[in-house]
Amino acid sequence: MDPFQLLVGGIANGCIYGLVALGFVLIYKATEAVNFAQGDLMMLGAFVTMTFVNQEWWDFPFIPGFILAMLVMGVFSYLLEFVIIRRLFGQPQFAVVILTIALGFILRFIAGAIWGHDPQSLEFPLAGESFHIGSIVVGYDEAFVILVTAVLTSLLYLFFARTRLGIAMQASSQNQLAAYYMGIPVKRISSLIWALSGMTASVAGVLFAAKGAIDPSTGLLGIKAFAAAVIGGFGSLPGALAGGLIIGIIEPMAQFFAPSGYSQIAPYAVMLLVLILRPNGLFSQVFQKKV
Amino acid sequence: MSLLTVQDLSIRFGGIVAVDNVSFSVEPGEVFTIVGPNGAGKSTIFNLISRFYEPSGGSLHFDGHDITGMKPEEIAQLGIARTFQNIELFEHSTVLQNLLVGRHSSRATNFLQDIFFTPGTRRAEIEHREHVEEVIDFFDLQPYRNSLIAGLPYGVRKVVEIARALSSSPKIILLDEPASGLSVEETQDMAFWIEDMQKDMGLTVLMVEHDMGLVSKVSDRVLALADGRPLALGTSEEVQKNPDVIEAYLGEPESAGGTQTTASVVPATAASATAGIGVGNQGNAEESHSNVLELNNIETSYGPILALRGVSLNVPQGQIVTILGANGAGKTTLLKTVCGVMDPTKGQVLLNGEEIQGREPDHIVKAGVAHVPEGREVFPLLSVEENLMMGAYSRSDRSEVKQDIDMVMTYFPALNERRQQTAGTLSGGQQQMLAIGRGLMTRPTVLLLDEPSLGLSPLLVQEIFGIIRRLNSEQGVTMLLVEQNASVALKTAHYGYVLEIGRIVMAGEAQKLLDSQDIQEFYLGDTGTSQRDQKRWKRKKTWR
Amino acid sequence: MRIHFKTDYRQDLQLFADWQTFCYYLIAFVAAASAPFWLGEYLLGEMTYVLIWVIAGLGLMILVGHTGQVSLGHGAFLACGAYMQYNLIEAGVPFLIAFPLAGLFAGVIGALAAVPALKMSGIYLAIATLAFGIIVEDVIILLEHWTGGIEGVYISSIMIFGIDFDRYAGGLEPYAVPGHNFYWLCLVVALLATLFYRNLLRSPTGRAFIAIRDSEVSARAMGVNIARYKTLAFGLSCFFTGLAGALLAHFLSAFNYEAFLILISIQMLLMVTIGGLGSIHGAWFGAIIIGMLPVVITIMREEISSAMGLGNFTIPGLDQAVFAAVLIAFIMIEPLGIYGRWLKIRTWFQLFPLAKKDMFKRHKSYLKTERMR
Ligand SMILES: Nc1ncnc2c1ncn2[C@@H]1O[C@H](COP(=O)(O)OP(=O)(O)OP(=O)(O)O)[C@@H](O)[C@H]1O
Ligand SMILES: [Mg+2]
Repeated sequence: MDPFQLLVGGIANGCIYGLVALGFVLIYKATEAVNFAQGDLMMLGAFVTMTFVNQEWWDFPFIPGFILAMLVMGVFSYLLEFVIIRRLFGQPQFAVVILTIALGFILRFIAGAIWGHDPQSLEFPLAGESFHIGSIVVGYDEAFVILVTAVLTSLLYLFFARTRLGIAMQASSQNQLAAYYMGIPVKRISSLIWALSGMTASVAGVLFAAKGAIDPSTGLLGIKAFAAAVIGGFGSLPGALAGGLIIGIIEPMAQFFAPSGYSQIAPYAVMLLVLILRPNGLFSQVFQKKV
Repeated sequence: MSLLTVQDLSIRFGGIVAVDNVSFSVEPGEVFTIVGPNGAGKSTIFNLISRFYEPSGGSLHFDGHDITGMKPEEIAQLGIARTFQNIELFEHSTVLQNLLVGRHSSRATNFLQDIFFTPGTRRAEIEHREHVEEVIDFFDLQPYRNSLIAGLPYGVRKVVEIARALSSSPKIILLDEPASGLSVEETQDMAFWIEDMQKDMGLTVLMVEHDMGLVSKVSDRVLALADGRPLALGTSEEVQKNPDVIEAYLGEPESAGGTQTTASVVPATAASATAGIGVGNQGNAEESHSNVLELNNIETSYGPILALRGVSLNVPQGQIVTILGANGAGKTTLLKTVCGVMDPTKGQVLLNGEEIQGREPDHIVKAGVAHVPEGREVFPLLSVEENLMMGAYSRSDRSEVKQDIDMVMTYFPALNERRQQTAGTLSGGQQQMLAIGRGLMTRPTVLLLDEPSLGLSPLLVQEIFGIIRRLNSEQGVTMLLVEQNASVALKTAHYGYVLEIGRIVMAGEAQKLLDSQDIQEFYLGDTGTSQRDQKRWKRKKTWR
Repeated sequence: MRIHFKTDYRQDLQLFADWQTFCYYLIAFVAAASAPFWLGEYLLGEMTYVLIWVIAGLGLMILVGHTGQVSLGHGAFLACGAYMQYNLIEAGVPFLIAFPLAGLFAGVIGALAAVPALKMSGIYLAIATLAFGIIVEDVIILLEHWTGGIEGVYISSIMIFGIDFDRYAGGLEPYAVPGHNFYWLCLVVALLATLFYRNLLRSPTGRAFIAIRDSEVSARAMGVNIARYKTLAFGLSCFFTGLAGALLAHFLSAFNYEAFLILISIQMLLMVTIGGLGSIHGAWFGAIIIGMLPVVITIMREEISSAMGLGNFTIPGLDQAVFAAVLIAFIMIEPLGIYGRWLKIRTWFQLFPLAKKDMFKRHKSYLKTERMR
């Protein structure tokens, strides 16, 4: 097989990892909590979209169904923060980690109870169609994935770097007390970022489901997205995308070139290598404390 | 032979040369003090000596060893102990455990012995403990022996940190601003302790300090630094007479040498002549002044410990009210309760007549209350400019925000040069300036100031209080001021309260308080005599 | 109300604060040691399982709770211990030698793994160890010669001086249920591990760990060699975890890589966190809760479904979801773990009748970034 062909598939996959990683990074950047249920939010987003647009369910047109699902996921994540996560405000981040791990279990259970455990696929209007660049076949779904990811990442990046709300989010993750002294509504910001992260997850879920099938345990893909976020340097949005791409590209390459049995550990091995060389990822935001 | 020799030491951070060819040597048994404006490179020199930073040039020698290439942990083994400007204690351990970690460099057992707790380990532990108990006695820390650091007042933490350094039986001890944030009486204790360390224990002390009273009292030699370059070296008097030092660091000549730099202070006009001095007198509100802020019987607790025990006070419109009191009296808790980051268990906080206790802090800030918190609390990973922008978060007038940033930059030129620097890498004093600037950016109607002068150079302290007075008189900002430098605070404020162990024990007009015998004795450090056997004068305080 | 009057510094070096405390622990010990006489076989098996988790939890607690280094891949070290034990026992090495060697092996691997981990912290370290755990899962399958590959291995039973310590062996048949020897073995190991841990904490090594957790900068300034102590913490932690792995191997008798999935590592982390980070009690509480909760849930489900006449009612994932929901409840009620709650209850009794409700109210607290180290 043409390595370039692998590359296209890898990039598209990598974008999805990148998007899930983006979800982690958003929450981390604004609250410094790590959401272990991000992959499961993605899974949920895919299922919700499927419910809206698939023929055997409600059969909405794709775009409105997609947007509606995004909104639903946004509201769901907002409420998740508002009702549960917020109870741990100001508590050690470890507690939040445990909480989100447990939430992941519950989300998987709920999804299984509603949609069953068999893999299902989303009816994606562009599925199966493709165009050629030279000898390489690019599926419209792949192109769509890449485009959406690029746009979303740039938008979020600009949001954090330029807007007052974006900076306030960073501020409240760095010092909650001082953020309050500045009049920043720290708790509301935390809900907002969860909503945003839920919407991102929903986009990732749709893109994933557009290329393959989903089932309730799809969310475990979150672990690879973790690797992506860490490679990029947790807390950096472009880093998350870069990390996602690296993982996405390495996977098919390793399957192609490495002996079987070794290929599935390749992403993790690469991640460890990156961390050994750069302990805080590629685009790190960790500083030596000044004393 | 000198104990510590610093030769042509330099370091640069990005474009800034923080320390530029500095040489000095510290003789055994002396107290050597480094002074200089904020950001002069004093703490950086400490960090270079304890090898946290890699110098870009020069060498360091200690006690016959070349320590330039050593690791921080090896430095400690050689007998160099230090404290930190921003207090770096082991928060979740007790005072005793903190001090025992100080004994680490003289540990005699390995981990296998420790796991089996062999008789050798037991013996060593008892020895460590005895040593640490001596240090505890020396610093009068007995009441805090088993308290967690996280719950201790600032002044005690400061002392614990020095005690931890001393526990390691060092040859030289590096003290980074030992007296910043301490009250007058605590500063006097500190002076005695430093003298004792030098005279009784034969220790060499290398110190950075902004309190010129303390510096003159204990230092054998003083090195003045500015912009990373040496300015003057000599006895404390010589240095304080040096015109360059006065211009860059001390400010007005007549204020040099005193504990407080108050020369330019114009006493606030007395608002009312009727209010007397006395416990429980809260009738300061004149008819013409409505109270912006009113506290009724506030009780606030940290878990089982009651920090405020029924505090009532009033802050009238357009006035500056100051709260005096020792470290741990509950002043910071009071301010935190006002702006809602702590909830009172009882009582009311009224802002313009409206109850605000128990509200989310951001509502209270939106209502016009700004807070310059204790211990800087800047956003460490944001740039200076972004920090200031956050100060204006609750405002909607964009164009004026820009103007206000420029105004803050004119107040603090040091910040202007560092607009893009991440706040976490600023020097302690620069962070303090940023915290104040950020508070001003809120355009408050009520400004709560928690130790605004902490860690600032004498010159800047004067300027800060100048700014405070101007804000008050020109823009009518109401202020609640907490300040260890009681003399400046009282000269700036209209009205004062004295808070001790969570209770208001005295209240009155600032001028009256300033004249009061008790206040002079306990908060202005006017003991009349400074003999060592007078060390216990604070015990006379009747309300303790 | 109880007050300790201390008259000698040496009193702070004692294992138990006073004779009363000693009595409490003695009662707990007697209760635990006599369990085979009053528990059923199924429950004794579960108790044994809990004890193994206690040992593993103590190991992880050293690292996470006291040195502040997160590990999400401790299952890997459990595996190291288990497979080393298998290989040694099958090679005919007596248990008393094989057992510590298995722990040592895991400890050495842990110390080696610490070398690249030294510079990492927080989330980076967590994910790096997670990746390590995943890689080890696959390595187990690849090292077929030592580990039996996907099929796994079957380990012979333990003989110490001719006495059978097998999981199902029973010598005191009429009085105690089978498996008591193995249970006692696990109890002794758990108690020894606890004792060693306690010793560590009251000596310079443990204090250095805590110093690293709370402030690396000042730990260095006090002369603590960060690299050395972090490596030591990893080594000790993995040593205990390896011992737990060796016992787990015997407990399971037949096992393959699935006994050491990443989920196990996560469960270990849940254990120490739910129990209460930074305390030995926490490791015990956490292991008991996490170990017994599934049992309780299963029993409850069976009770409820038979009471409602549903027969053998199951929904896939239900047990896990209930488990997760209970965890969420725990962590919301007490974010500092069960040990935190335990302290409050104890204080309440000690102060009785002076305790006020306000004293235990959670007051507002705020976090600061951990990205500045
Ligand atoms: N890690 C760093 N990165 C960039 N700049 C730094 C760093 N550390 C210090 N600086 C800069 O070096 C200069 C000297 O800082 P230093 O902390 O030594 O000042 P200082 O003399 O202790 O001042 P202060 O009295 O305010 O404590 C400051 O301008 C500071 O901004
Ligand atoms: Mg400094």
